[in-house]
Amino acid sequence: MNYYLRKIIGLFATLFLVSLTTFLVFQFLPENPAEIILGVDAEPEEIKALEKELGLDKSASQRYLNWIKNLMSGDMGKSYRYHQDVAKLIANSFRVTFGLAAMSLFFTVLIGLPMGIYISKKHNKFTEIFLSVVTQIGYSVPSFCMGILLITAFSKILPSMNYVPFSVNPLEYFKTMLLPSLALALGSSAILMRYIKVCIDEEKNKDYVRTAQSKGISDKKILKRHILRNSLIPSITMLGMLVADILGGSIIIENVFSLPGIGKLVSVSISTRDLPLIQGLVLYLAFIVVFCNFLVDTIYSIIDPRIRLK
Amino acid sequence: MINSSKNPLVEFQGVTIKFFENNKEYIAVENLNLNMEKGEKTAVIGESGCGKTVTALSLMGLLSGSAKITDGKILFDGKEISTLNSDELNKLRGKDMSMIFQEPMTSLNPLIKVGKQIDENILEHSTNKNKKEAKARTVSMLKEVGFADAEKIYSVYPHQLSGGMRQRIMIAMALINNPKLIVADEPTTALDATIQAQIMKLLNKLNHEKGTALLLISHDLGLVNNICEKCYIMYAGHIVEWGKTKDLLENPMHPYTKGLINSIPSIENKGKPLNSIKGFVPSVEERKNKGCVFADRCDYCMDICRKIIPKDKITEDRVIKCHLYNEKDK
Amino acid sequence: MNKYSKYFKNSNIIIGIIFILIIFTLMTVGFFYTPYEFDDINVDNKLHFFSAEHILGTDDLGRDILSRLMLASRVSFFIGTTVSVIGLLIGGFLGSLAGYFGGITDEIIMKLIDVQMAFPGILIALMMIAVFGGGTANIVMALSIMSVPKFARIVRSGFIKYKNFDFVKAEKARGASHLRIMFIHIFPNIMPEIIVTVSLSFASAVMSEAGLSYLGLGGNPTFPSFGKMLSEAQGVIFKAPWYVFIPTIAVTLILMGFNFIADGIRQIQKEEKNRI
Repeated sequence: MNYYLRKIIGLFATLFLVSLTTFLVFQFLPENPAEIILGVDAEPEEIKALEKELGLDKSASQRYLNWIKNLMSGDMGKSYRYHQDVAKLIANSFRVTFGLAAMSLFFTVLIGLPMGIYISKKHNKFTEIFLSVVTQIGYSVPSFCMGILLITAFSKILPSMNYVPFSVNPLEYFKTMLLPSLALALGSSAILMRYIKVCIDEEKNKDYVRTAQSKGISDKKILKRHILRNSLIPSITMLGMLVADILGGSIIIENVFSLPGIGKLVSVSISTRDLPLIQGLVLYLAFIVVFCNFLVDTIYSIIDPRIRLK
Repeated sequence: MINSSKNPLVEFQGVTIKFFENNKEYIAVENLNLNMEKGEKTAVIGESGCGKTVTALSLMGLLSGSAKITDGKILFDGKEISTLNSDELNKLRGKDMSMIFQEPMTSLNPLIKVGKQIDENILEHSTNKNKKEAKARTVSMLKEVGFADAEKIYSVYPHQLSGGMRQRIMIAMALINNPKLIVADEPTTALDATIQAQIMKLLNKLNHEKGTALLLISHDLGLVNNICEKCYIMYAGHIVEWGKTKDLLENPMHPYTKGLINSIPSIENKGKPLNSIKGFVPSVEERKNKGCVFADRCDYCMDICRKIIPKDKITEDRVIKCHLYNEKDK
Repeated sequence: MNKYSKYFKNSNIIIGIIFILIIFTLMTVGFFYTPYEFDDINVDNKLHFFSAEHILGTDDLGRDILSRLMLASRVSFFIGTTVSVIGLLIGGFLGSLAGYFGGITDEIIMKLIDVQMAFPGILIALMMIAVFGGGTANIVMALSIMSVPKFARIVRSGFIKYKNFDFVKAEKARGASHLRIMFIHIFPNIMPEIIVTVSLSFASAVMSEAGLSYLGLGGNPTFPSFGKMLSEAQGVIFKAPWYVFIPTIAVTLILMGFNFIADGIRQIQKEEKNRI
C-alpha cells in the first residue's frame, strides 16, 4: 500500500481512538452533569428536562455518535460557565497558545541546534562536563519553576504586564511573550542540544563518512554536506516530541504568566467543573499532538527517501 | 632480488601500527615491509583480523583515532603519508589514490543521489567548478562501469540499487579522477558469488586500461590469482610470505600459505573433506610477543618457533618468515 | 569485583544519590522533629529572611519554611514512589504481554499506548481530576497511568530483543513455562533499563505533582507541597524574592538526582556495549 495512504488511515484511526478515550473517561463521571449545572437543590423535573436537552437519556453509543457528528460541524457544546460555544472559546485562546508554542519552538531550535553542532566538534573534559551540567539543568528544572525564576531575574527590565495581542501592539506582544517562551525553550533546547550531539556522534562513525574522507573531502565539508543532514533527520522526530512537551508545559506556564491561552482555560474549566469545555480542550490538545506527529512523519519521509519504502 | 624497486609508488618501510585503548596498547601490524611499482597490481591476503584493513587505511591516512603508526614510514609517490597534514592528505585522497570499501550497502550516503556523490569527487579536486561538466563526466564514467542507463542511474538514491550496483558506483567514484592507485578492501566479500566475478573483472579491466595500480585486500587467494602479479600473505599483523602470485600458488612455502591454499575448494579435491587451518586468528589482545605468530596453529611447529621470532628469508623470488627455511635455525 | 560495585563508582550516580539524600534526610528528620509546627501562623513574623530561629525564613503567614519543606518532601517522595511502582507493575505487565506474545496482542497494546501518548504533559491528569475530583488517590492514579507507556515500551523491547536469544529458546525447548521464562530469564537482563525508567518516571511524577499543586489541584489542600509553596512564593515575589528559590531548589534536587542516576546507568551500559 502507498506509504501516505497508510499514514492517513493510521492518523484517522488514532484520532478515532483518542476521541473515544476522551468520551469514555467522561462517562465515569460520578455525578449527573445536569446536577452539576443546576446545583444540588434543583427540582427533579428541572433536572429531567435538562437531561433531555443534553441528550443524557440516550444510550452511550448514540451520545458518542452525536458528539462526533457535532464535532464535525464545529459544534463542541456550550460552556457551563461562560455560556458560550466551546469551539469559539478555544479558538480565541488558541491564538495565544499558538504564539507561545511557536516562539518557544523557535527559541528551542535557535539555541539547541547550533549548541548541539558546536559541542559535537569539541571532545574534551570541559565540554563533557558543560554538556552534562547544562542538560541536567534543562531536564530537571521544571519549566514553571524556570518561569518564576525568570520573572524574579528580569523584574526590572521586563516588568510583568497584561497580555497584549500582536495585532494591537507587536512590540508589547513580544515583550510579554519573551519570558514565558524562554521558560519553555530553555529546557527543551537542552534536550535538543544533547540529542543532536548524540546523533552527530553516531553518524560520524558510519561507513559513508569514511568514503567521503577517502575522497579527500575536508572534515568541515563532511560535517556540512554529509553528517548534518543525516543526523538532523532523527532530530525532526525529537522536535515532534518537543511540540507535545511544549504544549503540555504551556498549560502551567500560561498560569504562571497569566496569559489568556488554552492552559489558562484548562485550569479555570477544571476548577469550575465546566465539563463540555474540559472535554473540548482535552480533545483539541490531543488532536494537535496527533497532527504534529503526522506532520513530522510526513516531513521525515520527504527528507529521507528510504522511509517511503518501508 | 625481489626486494629492489625501480619505479616505486607505494613503500611500507618497517611499519608498526598500534591501537591505544584504556591506557593499553595492542599491536595491529608489526614491522611491515611492502612495495608497489607504478601500475602494479598487488594483493594482501589473510584471514579476517590479520591487520589487512588497518594496513590499507594507514596508507590512505584514514586510521581511526585510537590507532597510530608508531614505527617506520609509509611512502606514496615519494611523499611520506604520516608527515602530511590533513589538507595535504585531502589533496591526495580521491585524486591520486582512492579506496573501495567492503560494505557497499553502507558506504554511500543514503540521502544524496549517487551521481551527486561522484560529482562531489570531481568538483573537490578540480579547479573547474562547472557542475554541468562534472555531471557529463560522471555519466560517462557510469557508462564505463557498465550502467547502460547512466542518465537514470545518476539520479537514484543508494537504497534503490543492489549491492553489486552500489559497488560499481564505488568503482566509478574511485576511478573518476584517474588516480595512480586504488585500494580495494575486500570489494566483493559482501556480494553474491556471481556478482563477485563481474565486479573483479570490471575492476581489473578498468585498472588495466587506465594503468592504475591496485592494492587488493582479500581473504581469498583464488580471487586474486588472475589479477594481481604480486601477493603478500599476512598473518596476525605480520607479512609471513610474499612473492609472485603464480609462484606462491604453485609452490607455497610458509605453512600458513599452504593452509590457505589447501582450504580453497578445487575440482581435484572433489569429494574429499575440505581442509582448513586449525584454530583461529588470535585477537590483538591475545597475541604473544614471543616466537612465531603462527606457531600455535602450525602443523610443523618446532621448539624454536615458540621462542624466537623468525627473520625474513630472502631468496631470488620469495620472502618467507619461517624457521623451516632458515638453515641455521634448524 | 561485585556485580553492582561499578554502579557505585560512577560519578553521575554518586552525585544523583547525594542530591536525593539531601531531600530524603530532610524528610526523614521531619517525621521525628520539625523546628516548628508546619501550620503555626505568626503574622508578626512574616517573610523573614534566613536567621537562627528560622533557618530558611518564614512565609507570608509567618510559618517556618524549613518545617513546611520537610513535610512537603513527604508528598513528593510518596507520589514518586507509588507512581513508579504502579507504573512499573502495569506497564511491565502490558509490555511483557506485548513483547512476548507479539501479533495482535502487541498491536492492541501498542495502539493504546500511542493513543495515551497523544495527551500532552499533565493533560491526562487534569482530565481525570476534572472527572473524579482531586485528592491524593486520584492524582496517584492519574500520574501512574501517565507513566505506564514508558515502562511498557522498555519491557516490550527487552522481550522482543531477548526472546530470540539462544538461552531463552533453550529454556522453551526444555518445556519451561511462559511465566518462568519471563521472570527468571528476561527480567534480569533488562533490569538496568527498568531502573533507568523507574528513575525517570519518579522524576516526572514529582514534577507533575508540583505542577498540579502549583495550579491548586494537588492532593490535601491543608498539607504543604513544593508546588503550593512555589505559588505562594510567586505571590510575594517582589517582597521576598529568595523564597521562590527554596521550593525550586528542592524540586530540582530530586529531579536532578534521579536524572543523574538514570544517566549514570546508561553511561555504564553504553561502555559495556562498546567493550563487546
